[in-house]
Amino acid sequence: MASDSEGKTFDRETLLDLVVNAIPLGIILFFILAFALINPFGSNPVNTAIQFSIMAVTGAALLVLTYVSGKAISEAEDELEEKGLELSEEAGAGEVAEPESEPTPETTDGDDEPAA
Amino acid sequence: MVGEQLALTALMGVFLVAVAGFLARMEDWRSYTPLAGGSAIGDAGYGGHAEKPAGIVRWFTTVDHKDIGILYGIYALIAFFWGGAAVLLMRAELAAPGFDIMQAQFYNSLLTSHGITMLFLFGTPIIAAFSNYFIPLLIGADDMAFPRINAIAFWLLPPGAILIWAGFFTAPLGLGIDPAQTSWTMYTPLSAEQANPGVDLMLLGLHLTGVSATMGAINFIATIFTERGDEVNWANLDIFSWTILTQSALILFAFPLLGSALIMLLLDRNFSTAFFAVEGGSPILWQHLFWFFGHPEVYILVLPPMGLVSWILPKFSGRKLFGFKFVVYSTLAIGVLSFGVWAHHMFSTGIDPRIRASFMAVSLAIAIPSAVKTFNWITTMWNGNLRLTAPMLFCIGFISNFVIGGITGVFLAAIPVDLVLHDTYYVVGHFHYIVMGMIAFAGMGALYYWFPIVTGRMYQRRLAKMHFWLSMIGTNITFFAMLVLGYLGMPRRYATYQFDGAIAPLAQVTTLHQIATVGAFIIGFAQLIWAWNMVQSWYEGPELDDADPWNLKDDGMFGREFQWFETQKLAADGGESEEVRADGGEVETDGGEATGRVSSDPRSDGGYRKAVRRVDDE
Amino acid sequence: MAIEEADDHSGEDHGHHLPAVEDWPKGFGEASWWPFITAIGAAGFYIGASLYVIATQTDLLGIAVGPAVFVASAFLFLAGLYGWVYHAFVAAYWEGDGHGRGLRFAMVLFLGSEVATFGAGFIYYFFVRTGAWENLPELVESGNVLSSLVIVNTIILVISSVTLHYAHIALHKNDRQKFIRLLAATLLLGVVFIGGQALEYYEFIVHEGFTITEGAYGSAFYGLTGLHGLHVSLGAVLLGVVFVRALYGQYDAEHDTSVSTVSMYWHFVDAVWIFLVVVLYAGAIVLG
Ligand code: HEM
Ligand SMILES: [Cu+2]
Repeated sequence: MASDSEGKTFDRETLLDLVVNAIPLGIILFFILAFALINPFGSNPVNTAIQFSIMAVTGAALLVLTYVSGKAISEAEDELEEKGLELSEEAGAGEVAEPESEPTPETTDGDDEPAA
Repeated sequence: MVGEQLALTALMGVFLVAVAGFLARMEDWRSYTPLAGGSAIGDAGYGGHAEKPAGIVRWFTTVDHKDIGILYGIYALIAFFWGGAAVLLMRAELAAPGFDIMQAQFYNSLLTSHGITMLFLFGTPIIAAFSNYFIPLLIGADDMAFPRINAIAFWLLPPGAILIWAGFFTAPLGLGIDPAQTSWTMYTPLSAEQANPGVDLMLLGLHLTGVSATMGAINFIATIFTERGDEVNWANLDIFSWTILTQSALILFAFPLLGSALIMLLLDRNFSTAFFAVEGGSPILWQHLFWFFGHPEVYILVLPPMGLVSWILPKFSGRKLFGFKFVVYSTLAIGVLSFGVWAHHMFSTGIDPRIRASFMAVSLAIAIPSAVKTFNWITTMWNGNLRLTAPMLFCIGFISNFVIGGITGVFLAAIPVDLVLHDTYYVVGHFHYIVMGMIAFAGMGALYYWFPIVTGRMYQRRLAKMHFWLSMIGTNITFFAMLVLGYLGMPRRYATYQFDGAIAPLAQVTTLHQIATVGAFIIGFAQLIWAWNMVQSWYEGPELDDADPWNLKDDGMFGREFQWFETQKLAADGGESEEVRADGGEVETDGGEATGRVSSDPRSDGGYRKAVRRVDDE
Repeated sequence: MAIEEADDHSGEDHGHHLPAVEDWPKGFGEASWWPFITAIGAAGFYIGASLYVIATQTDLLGIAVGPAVFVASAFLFLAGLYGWVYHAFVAAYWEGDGHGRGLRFAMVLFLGSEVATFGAGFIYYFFVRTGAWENLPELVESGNVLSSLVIVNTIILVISSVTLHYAHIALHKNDRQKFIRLLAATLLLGVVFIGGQALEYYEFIVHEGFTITEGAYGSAFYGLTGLHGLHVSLGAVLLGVVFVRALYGQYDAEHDTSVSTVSMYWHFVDAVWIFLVVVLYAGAIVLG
C-alpha cells in the first residue's frame, strides 16, 4: 500500500505508462540544447534567462506532476489489488462480465428508428 | 423621452413579474421537470415524500447537483442560441463584400458578443452542466462537496450574462450605452479608450462569471478529492473526472488572473490609472496577462470534452478505452504545459526573439499529448464493434475535426508560419475546428448519450442523425473555407472585404466567404432540428423500458452513472417510494454508495412495462 | 440558537454531509433560498458598480444610485451569507467533523486562486519596475514611501499572525481562556493594522498629493495595497465571526475547522504583505 518502497511503486508497467509524458519532455530538452548551441539572436542576460527558464520551468513542472500522479495512481492500484476490487472505470460492478472473445470487427448501425 | 423609456421599462418589469407569478402558480408545473410526470421513474417516487418545493421555487432553491446541472445546461443553451444568432447575422453580412445589411460598429459588437458568449457563457457552463450532473454519480458521491456553493456559483451567472449583453438591450433606447466593440480579446489601448459604459458593464459581467467559474472549480477539486465513494480511488477514477479535475486546476489559476486584469482595465477606464497605458504597464502587458489566462482557457474548454469522448466512445466501440493511463497522463501534461505557451498568440508583437523561440518550443511539445489522445481514440475503435448511434457519430466527428484543428494549431505554433498567417481567417478556421468541431460536438454527443438518464425518455434517432450530419457537413464547409481564406490573406475581424486586389484576390475571397456563409446556415439549421428534437422528446419521447438504453451491459460497459440510474428506476418501478427522495434524489438508505453497484434486487432481471424497444432490438 | 437541536439527522452520515435539515424553506431537506439570495447580493455589487459607471459617463442617473445599490446589496449578501453558512455548517455542527477536511482543502484551493489574483498586480509592478520606471512621484524619489508607519504596521501584522497561531495551539490544549484572549489580541492587531493603512492613505493623498492617478507607480501602489487592504478587512471580519463564535463556546480541540481555515487565510494575507513591503515599498527605493 502507501508504504510501498520506491522501487515497487514505479514498476515496469507504471514506467511504461509514464513514457507518454517523456516525449514532450524530450522535445523541450531538445529545444533547450538546440537554443544553447545555436544562438542567432545573441545573448542578453535578462532575455536569455527568461528564454531558458520558460522551457525549464514548464519542463520541471511537468516532471514533478508526472512523478506525483504516477506515484499516486500506482499506489492506488496496489490498494485496489489488496481489496480485490475491479480496476476499470466501470468498477464497482465487479459482477459485470468482461467481454470474452475478441470483438468482431463489424460495424452495425445500432441506431435505427423504433418500429411504430 | 427618457421618462417614456422608464415608464416602458417599468411596465415590462410588472409584466415579467406577473408572468413569473402565473407560471409559479400553475398547478402542473412539476410535470415540466425532468424525470417527472409520465416518465418511468416519476409517479411512484412522489409518494408522501416529495421533499423539494413545488413549482418554480424548486429551481431557485435547489442545491441538488443534478438540478443545478440542468440549470447550467439550460443557461448554456440559451447562450448558444444568442451567440449563434449573432454569428449568423455576421455571416449574412459577409456574404457580399460591401456593407449591405449592417454597419461596421454593429458588426464589431456582434463579433465581440459572439466570442465572449460562446467561450464564457456557453463553453464553460455546458461543461459545468455535465460535470455537475454526472461527476458525483461517477465517483459515487452523495452530492458535490459544497452543494450550496454550487448553487451560488450558478446563480452568479445569469446576472453576469445580463451585464455582458446589456449593451444590446440599451442601445435601441439611445441612452449612450452601446454594446462593446472590443473583440473577445479586449486588447488595449482600444478597450481602454472606447468611451462607452457598455464596455464597463461587459467587463464587470465577465468578472462575475469568472468568480462563478472559480467557485465551481474549487468545488469540483474538493469533490473529487474528498467525496469519492469507498470503491473509487486514483487508480479507477473515470476519465471524465480526471479531465474535470485538470480543468478545475487550470481555472483555479487562470480565471482569478483574468479577474485582476479586468479590474485593472476597469480602473484604467474609470480612474485614469496607468496599468495598460504606454507610460505604465504598456498595452503589451494586457496581452501577456490576457493570454496567460487565454491559452489555459482554451484547454479549460477542450479538456472536459476530450474526457466526454474518452468516456462515451468506448461504450459504442465495445471495448475499453485503449491506453487509459496514457490519456490520464497526457491530460495532466496538457494541464501543466498550457501555462507555458501563452505568447504563441503574440509572436507578431515584436517580443524578444529568444523568448518567442522558447514559446514555440513548448507549443510544439504540447501538441504531443494532444496527438496521443487522438491515437488512443482511433485505436479504441480499431477492430471494435462499432455502433453508430448519435452520440458515437458525434464522437467520431469530434476526432475527425480535431485532426484538422490540431494540425493547423501545430502549424501556427511555428513562428515563421504564424508570422504569415497571424490575424487571418486561418486562425479563425483553426480554433473553430476546435471550439465548434470538438467542444460543441462533444457537448451534443454527451447530451444525446445522457438524455435517457436526465429525462427517462429516448430522443428521436433519425432527427439526431440528421443533426449530426448537417452539423458535420456545415462545420467542415464553413471552417475549411476559412482556412483557405486565410491562405489567401483575408484578415480576420472585418465587416467588409472591398479591398485592393493586391491584398487578396477579391473574386475567390468572395466565393469562399459565400461558401462559409452557406455552411454557417447549415449549422444553424441543424441546431434547430436538434432543439426541436430535445423539446419534443422531453415531453413526448418514448419512455425507457429499462435502465440500459444503450445495451451497455452486453459489453460489460455499464458505467456508474447508468448503474445509479438503474437503482433509481428499480426503486421507482418497484413502488418502494419511500426510498426515493424527490424526483431523482438519492436513495436514502444506502446513499451514494449504492451508485457503485448494480442492485441485487431480484427485479433487476425484468418486470418492466415494455414501452419501447431498446436501441439495438431489431 | 438551534445548534443543539440538530442532532437526529446524523444517522445516515458516512463522511458525506447531507445539506442542513432545518433550512428555509422549512421542510425541504434539499432546498434552500440562501444560495440564491447570496448570489443576488453578490451580483448586486456588480450592478451597483455598473450603475456608478453609467452615472459617471452619462447623465441618466444620479451619482449616488450606484453606491446605494452597492450598499443595499451588501446587506442582502451578508444576510444570504449568514443563512447559508449557518444552515450549511453551523447547524449541523456538533454532529461530527465531517466538513473539516473538505473545508480546509477548499481554503487551500482558494488561497491558490488568490496567488493568481495578486499575481496579476505584481506582474504589472515588475513590468513597470523593469520598464517604464520614470516620472516617479516625489515620495519614491525621496525614499519616504518606506516610512516608519509601514514598518510598525508590518510588525503589528506579523505579531498578529503569531498570536493567532498560539491561540490555535491553546485551543488544541483546551485552554479556552488563553484561546479567547489571544484571538481578541489578533483581532485587535488586525484592526490597528487597517487603521494604520487608512492613516497612510490619508497622509499620502492629503498631505503628499500622491494619488492613484499618479503615474505608473501610483497605480501599482494603490492597486496592490488596496487589494491587500480588502483582504485584511475581510480577514478581520472573519476573525470577528470566529471570535463571537468562540465566546459562545463553539470551539474545542476537535471542533476547530473555521479557526484553522481563518488562520490559514490570515497567515496568507500576512505573507503577501511582507512580500508587498519588500518589493513595493523597499524595492521602489533601493537601486532606485
Ligand atoms: C494542438 C495544440 C494547439 C496548438 C499548437 C495551437 C496553436 C495556436 C496558435 C499558435 C495560435 C495563434 C495564432 C495566431 O493568432 O496567430 C492559436 C490560436 C488559437 N487557438 Fe490554438 N492551438 C492548439 C490547440 C487549440 C485548442 C485545443 C484550442 C481550443 C479549445 C485552441 C484555440 C485557439 C484559439 C481560440 C485561438 C485564437 C485566439 C485569438 O486570437 O482570438 N487551440 N492556436
Ligand atoms: Cu494558445
